[in-house]
Amino acid sequence: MAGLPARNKTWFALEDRVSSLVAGARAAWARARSKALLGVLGAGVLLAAAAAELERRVASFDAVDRALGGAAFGLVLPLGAYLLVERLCQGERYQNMHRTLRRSGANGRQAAMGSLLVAGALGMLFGGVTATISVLVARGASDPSMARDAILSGVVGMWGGLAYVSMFLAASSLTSRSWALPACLVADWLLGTGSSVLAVPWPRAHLRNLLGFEPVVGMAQTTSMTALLVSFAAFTGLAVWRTDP
Amino acid sequence: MTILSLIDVFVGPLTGVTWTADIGMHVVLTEPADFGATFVEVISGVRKPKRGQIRVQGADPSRSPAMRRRIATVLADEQAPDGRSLVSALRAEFRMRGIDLEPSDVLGAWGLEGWRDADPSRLDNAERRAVALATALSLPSAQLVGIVEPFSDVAQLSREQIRDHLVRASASACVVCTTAVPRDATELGGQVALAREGKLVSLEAPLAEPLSALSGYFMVTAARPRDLLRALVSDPAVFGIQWRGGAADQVLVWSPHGQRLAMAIVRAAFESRCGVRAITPASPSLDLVEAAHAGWAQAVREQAWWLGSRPETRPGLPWRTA
Repeated sequence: MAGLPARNKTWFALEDRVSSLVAGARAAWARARSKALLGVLGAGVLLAAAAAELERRVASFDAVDRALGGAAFGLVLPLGAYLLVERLCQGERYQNMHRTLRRSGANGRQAAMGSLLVAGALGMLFGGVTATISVLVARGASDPSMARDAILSGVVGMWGGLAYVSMFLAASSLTSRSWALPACLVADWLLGTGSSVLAVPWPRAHLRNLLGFEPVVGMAQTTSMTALLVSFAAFTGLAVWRTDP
Repeated sequence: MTILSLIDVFVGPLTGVTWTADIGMHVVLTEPADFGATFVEVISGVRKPKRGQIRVQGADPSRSPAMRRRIATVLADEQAPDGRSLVSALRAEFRMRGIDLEPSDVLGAWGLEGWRDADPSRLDNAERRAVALATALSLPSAQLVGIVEPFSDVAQLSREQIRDHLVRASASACVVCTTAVPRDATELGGQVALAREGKLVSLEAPLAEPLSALSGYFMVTAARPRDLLRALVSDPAVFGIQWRGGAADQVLVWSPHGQRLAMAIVRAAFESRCGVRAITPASPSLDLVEAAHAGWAQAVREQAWWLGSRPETRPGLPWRTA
């Protein structure tokens, strides 16, 4: 075919997979790397910090629980994850994010895993930072258990961020309709605050359990942590499976 | 050798398409524009058919990343490639395809070097299609090239430039262009297939001469189309009229004599006071294309019969003896 001089390379199967994975990760990073998104997420962290400060001033006794259970995990984390996934999917199904890559010869599922890695990492970072800063502000510098609590809450925040991002990506992979992600957000708010079996699929319920609130169907906190990981795996598997190879 | 093969494919407006194409230029002439857009999405592997089989060189493009590397397409709605700049986005695409091409060279060859540092998300659809077209026709490994409306909604690239590259590409690849404009199909040449009722019907001969006889085609939008019809139907300059009836406010009028037809329309609008809102040039419908083509093909067959049965006649004058 007439064109510019070129040399075709032969890709081995492993290189194919790695190149698709890397391409998917690069595509997700290119979409997420937005000043607007960074600004909004930063504002979210500030909001969580401001709420934590207010809680500490009102009553420092259980300010951490109220700060984490209220603003941090109740509002900022789910909204931040929602906005991140919206930015990645840009109003389309999650699978369509990889359409250009698939046309170029990438394996769609590998590319989806690559973009999930980036999205998950960003979710974890956002969740961890939000939780850590909330604890630091709510406890105050003089509190001796501040460091330990900040680290533990940061870990919980990271897993929460991961679970929320994977949930929204799975919802986006099921339908391109504009109500899918908001419906997921609302369902998490409504059903995740309960403790019945209806609350089991929602990250909010398990995060509340990990904070010491009412356990979901009597689950132990370690079980809730496992449930968060299982839901992440299930949501991720669904999003990848829905993407064509 | 068959490059592209569709067997009983059902997806969107495609309802049971069975069609094959080999190396060369192939034009799919469609009346609903979404047929062409869906067709190219399906052969590119981006969209899976609900039923049926698509094979490119024996592989299903929706399941074979290796085959998709050898397929280059330009869709109706092009997604912005992900990247900090257009050059970095194209570099990633070429790397994925396993092709050692410098994006700046590709853009430069098509006169698009001014866009090299542009943010891909800020390009509009016409610009993205121009980049996709330049890329698709610059890939040396492409065995199948599929393009929706190659001459429409493409920024900055000229018709001649696009046509020349397409013709060159068709020498070594299967090039499939879909269009709703018969004139574009005529200009592209090659094998033509008509999209009718969700299926493809291949024309036996190239689509060329029949359309030149129908030079005057106008779509008239009027507040009172029935009054316009009454005024036009008795005008000798009018060759044919089509109106759907009911609440439809558009009337299609055609004639071999474009200027006379335009005057007839203006005259009828003035006399009937039908409230003409717009007069726009229109392409002939596929029914007329088929009829014109069938008439031309029949004339060619008759000519050939006369020449075969009367060897003493001279070409063009079959009824005179030497």
